[in-house]
Amino acid sequence: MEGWRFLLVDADAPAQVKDVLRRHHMRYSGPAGMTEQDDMENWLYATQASSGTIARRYPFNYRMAMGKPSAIGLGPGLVATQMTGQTPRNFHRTYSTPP
Amino acid sequence: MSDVAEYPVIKRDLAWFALKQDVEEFLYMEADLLDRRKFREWIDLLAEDLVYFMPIRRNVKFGQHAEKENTRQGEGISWFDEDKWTLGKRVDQILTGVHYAEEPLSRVTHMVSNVRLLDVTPSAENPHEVTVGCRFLVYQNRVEYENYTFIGRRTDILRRHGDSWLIARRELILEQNVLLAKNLSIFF
Repeated sequence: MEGWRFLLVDADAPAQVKDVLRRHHMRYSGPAGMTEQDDMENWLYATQASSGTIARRYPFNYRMAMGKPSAIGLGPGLVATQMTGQTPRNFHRTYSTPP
Repeated sequence: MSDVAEYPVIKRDLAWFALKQDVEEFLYMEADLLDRRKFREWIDLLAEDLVYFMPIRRNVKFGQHAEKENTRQGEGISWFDEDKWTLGKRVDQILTGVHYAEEPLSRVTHMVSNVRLLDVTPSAENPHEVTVGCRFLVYQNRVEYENYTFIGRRTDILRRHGDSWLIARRELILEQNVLLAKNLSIFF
């Protein structure tokens, strides 16, 4: 799986501010990011762990920020200003096989 | 045998061979420190003004490689565009024992090969700075089944420091477009 993350910076910000944000983003996010480094491993393990017999008996809650993301016309897809469950909702809508 | 005019030809005399041996020993010692998880000792080998850079690489149309293939240091987003302070913070984070990308610690072996002296200033007899090219093959294995191989080209600038060297610049060209590992939690 391949994921993309975009960093938006105010075009009018001073060059120094843009550079601080650029460096912050590299050290925070993505596979080398000090905060997100462990996300791939433990999320994939969580997915694997949730496919067990007991876990399969219960529904998962994907309702975070339901209906909040909207198309804003800057590009394809939906945009939200808060954390949302839209990504897994989209994923399951596209790839799940109906029971 | 210049590096296609990018670097000057260095005369292969005894001083050159002695310097090359010295530089190789340093690089192998450095790799050994990382493999033995001596991260603080490794940080001590870095110059205060270190540039540590690994670009993200794009698939570009023929003829555009020089201009567009690699992201550039100091611009945009790269895998690493670091200095000594931030690498020190990465070490601090790992040594907390609760950084779960490296807890438990990975098993890592750094292979360094194809070592070449690309430039020496002012001279091989009295080297102050040496530009060194090499290839790296880094094997990382962690927890039960995680297994990654990082292969690429590296260009270092080493600066004389007493009887040893400090790493003043490291550029790492990883031969991957989409990163094939789940993370970059180790040092190169």
